Amino acid sequence: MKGEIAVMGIVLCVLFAGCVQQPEDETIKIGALLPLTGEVMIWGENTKNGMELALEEINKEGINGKEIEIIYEDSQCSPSKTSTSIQKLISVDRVNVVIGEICSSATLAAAPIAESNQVVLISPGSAADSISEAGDFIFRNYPKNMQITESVIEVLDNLGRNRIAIMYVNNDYGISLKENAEKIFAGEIAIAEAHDQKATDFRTTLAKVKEQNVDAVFLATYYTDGALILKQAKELNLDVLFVGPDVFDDPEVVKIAGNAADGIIFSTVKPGAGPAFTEFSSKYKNKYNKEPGFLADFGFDALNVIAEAMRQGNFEGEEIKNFLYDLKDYPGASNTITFDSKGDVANSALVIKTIKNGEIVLYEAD
Amino acid sequence: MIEAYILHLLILICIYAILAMSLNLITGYAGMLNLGHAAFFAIGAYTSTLLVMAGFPFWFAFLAAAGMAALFGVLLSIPALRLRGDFLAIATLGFGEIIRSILLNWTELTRGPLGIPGIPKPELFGFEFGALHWYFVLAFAVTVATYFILRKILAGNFGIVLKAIRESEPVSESLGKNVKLVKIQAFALGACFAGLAGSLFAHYITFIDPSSFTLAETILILLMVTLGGMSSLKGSIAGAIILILLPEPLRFIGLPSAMVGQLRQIIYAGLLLALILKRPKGLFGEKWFKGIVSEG
Amino acid sequence: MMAVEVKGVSKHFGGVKALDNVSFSLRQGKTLGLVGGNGSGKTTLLNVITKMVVSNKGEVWFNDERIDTMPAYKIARLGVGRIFQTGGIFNNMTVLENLLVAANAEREEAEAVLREVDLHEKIDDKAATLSGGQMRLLEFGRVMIRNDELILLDEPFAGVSEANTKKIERVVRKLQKQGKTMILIEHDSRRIKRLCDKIIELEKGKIIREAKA
Repeated sequence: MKGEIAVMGIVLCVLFAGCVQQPEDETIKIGALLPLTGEVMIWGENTKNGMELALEEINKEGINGKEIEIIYEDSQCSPSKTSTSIQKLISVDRVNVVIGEICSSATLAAAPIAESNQVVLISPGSAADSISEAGDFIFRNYPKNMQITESVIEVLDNLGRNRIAIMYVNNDYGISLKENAEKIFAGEIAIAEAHDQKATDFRTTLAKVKEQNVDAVFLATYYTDGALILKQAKELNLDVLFVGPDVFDDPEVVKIAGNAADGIIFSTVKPGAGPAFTEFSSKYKNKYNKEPGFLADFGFDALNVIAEAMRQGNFEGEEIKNFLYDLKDYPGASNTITFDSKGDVANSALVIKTIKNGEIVLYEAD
Repeated sequence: MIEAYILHLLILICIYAILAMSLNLITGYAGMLNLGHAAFFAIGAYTSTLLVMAGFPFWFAFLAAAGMAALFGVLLSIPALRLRGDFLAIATLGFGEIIRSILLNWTELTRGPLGIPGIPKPELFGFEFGALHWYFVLAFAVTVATYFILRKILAGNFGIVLKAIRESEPVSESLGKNVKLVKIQAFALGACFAGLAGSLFAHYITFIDPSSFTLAETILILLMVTLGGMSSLKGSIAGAIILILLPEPLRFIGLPSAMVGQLRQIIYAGLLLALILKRPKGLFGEKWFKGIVSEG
Repeated sequence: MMAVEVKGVSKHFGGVKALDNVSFSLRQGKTLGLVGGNGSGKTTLLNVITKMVVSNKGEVWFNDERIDTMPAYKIARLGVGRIFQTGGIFNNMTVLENLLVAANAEREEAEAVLREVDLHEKIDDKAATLSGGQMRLLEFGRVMIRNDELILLDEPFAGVSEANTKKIERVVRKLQKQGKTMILIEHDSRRIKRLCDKIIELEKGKIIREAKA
């Protein structure tokens, strides 16, 4: 009997709590789905910091005299927890727009619920290509894997490389890059080898690559494993062109690889230090006493474009959606934002860089 | 509108109630600690998903999910049951990880870490279970069916034999019981229902990837079983209700936004601890469970 | 016909020889008394016959069928039953359930059997509430509901009250009248004379005496 009473008690608590939530009219509510705890909580925290920075400024003037209130839900990068969180944000908090999630799998779980409720979902951190097809109400201001792949392939094409090897990290990011490359690269992919995200020894793979006599190696990796690959390639006397995405735009690469990093060519879809970013960066340092971490600028921009939509009188999901599709060249900290018909940020100008004498510089063709 | 949120929670409760009951069958009633239960959940989810997306009707995919999971239940238990107690538990843990690894790496079949989005809602006799309340009806029906089927099986001879095996395997053998076969059957049956839960999960969330089927998931289900009381089907349902609902009231307490994530976790853990300490046998536990510890 | 034939069975645990080249045969319907000091190998012999323990050498035959190569449950299904020295009853199950696990029977059949061992009033009680002697009788109930042909009894009278001892002897006699074959481990020499047809004495795993009772 005691058991049944305990269960009833908890059920009643939840129902009561839910009913007691009075819709407040004094603030404009926006939902946020972020991994605030768990393995990737640093990304969630950074995004939140960026959003809070934007919020501060927005609420100085308010929107028609009202403040924006962000209701944060800790979705922990988990599809099922995300679905519960967004269901609560939509049906209990009655939000019309949700910023989130960071992990692609979580975003993909949230998308159908947002779509069927005509609530705008904008992800500041998900790169999976399939999100482009997730619905009309689904947006993201973070570059998707296909865009990253296209930028690297463009470099390869520009340099006339026809026979390449791919070394990729064995997760959704690396696998997407590799599969996308297989789809769009006109030349030959002689060999494609996966490695674990935490791997540190790539000699076996590099030996295989050496045998293949390719004219370039596409590194679909992060900067740590990428830098180690460069280092070990040099040790094995593997003299070939390495190309990669913008993860290599990081001084850590030279720290790890030393002079083996020289010669790598990489593309960036994210222009990085434009004036908007510099301004954002200094405001961030003022408020938080540290450099903006990964995704902080994306969170900042996501909230700002939503606030912009609201300033122009768009509060319903349908209205915000239309505004976003019409948005052109918004000067964001992370990027100049124009959304394409799929809700992704259209490619900004490609910037190609290289490492020369231990320095990251713009690439100039000889 | 709040009904959408409530219905969502109820659907999750149904899915986890089925998972908890099915794990209870293996671990509570048959006395085998199974740390790989999420693998059966995963096999059910992926089987159902792949079949429906290949054009098979939902009812077929649903039953196939149960069948595939049961098959793997047998495949796991045949070698694993040579081991006793703790070693059996470790074998099941290994199995769980192997399945997850296969799902992660067999990208041609499962898309690996990219997961499978866009899973269609179930369709039966031309009717689509798209709306939340209809999905709840479906999930609830499966849960009720699971409860009554398991109750019937356990009330009969099978249940008595399981009880005997829990108390003493050698004496059970001396009474003509093929203990190994009975255990394999228990595993297969438990796996079968976990597979059904997997199908319900996949078609509800409409996106699956290996990250939803980790050891942490098994431990959550095990927690539901323990909290509710081993060897009590009603207890497993209660455990599912409590653990799904427990974090929810915390969303409504105004916690300082800087610490909201961490504070909720701490409070949740605290409540869980309090519950376990207050009722160590579980809410519906009849007696202190013995049998998990190595025999002899 | 020879119901039981044990041929050259040896079993050692570590360095200790529990059974050393034990051979004997037992006619159907006869009762064998197994005697010997502590650790002489009596219980081990029963364990080998029922496959609770695997012998190192030798063969065991039951009704002209070799059983030492079979798994324990198969041997039990051939009609070999056992009364254990300790722990033979499932304490957390009811008296009725203890019988039903032995044979797929209806409640009426179980009631009838329980009447024969004088336990029908406790049919729905937890087995743990029974006295030592009652538990023994319940084990006999199991043997009866299974209709076992060969019954191995490991000191069924040890620690049992006067009243229950009489009941147990009555049951043993009844089973003997039904033509069951039995192996009885027992210390009381008068009881052995009363109940057994022949005797085997073990010492340190070896048969040192085989005689008519």
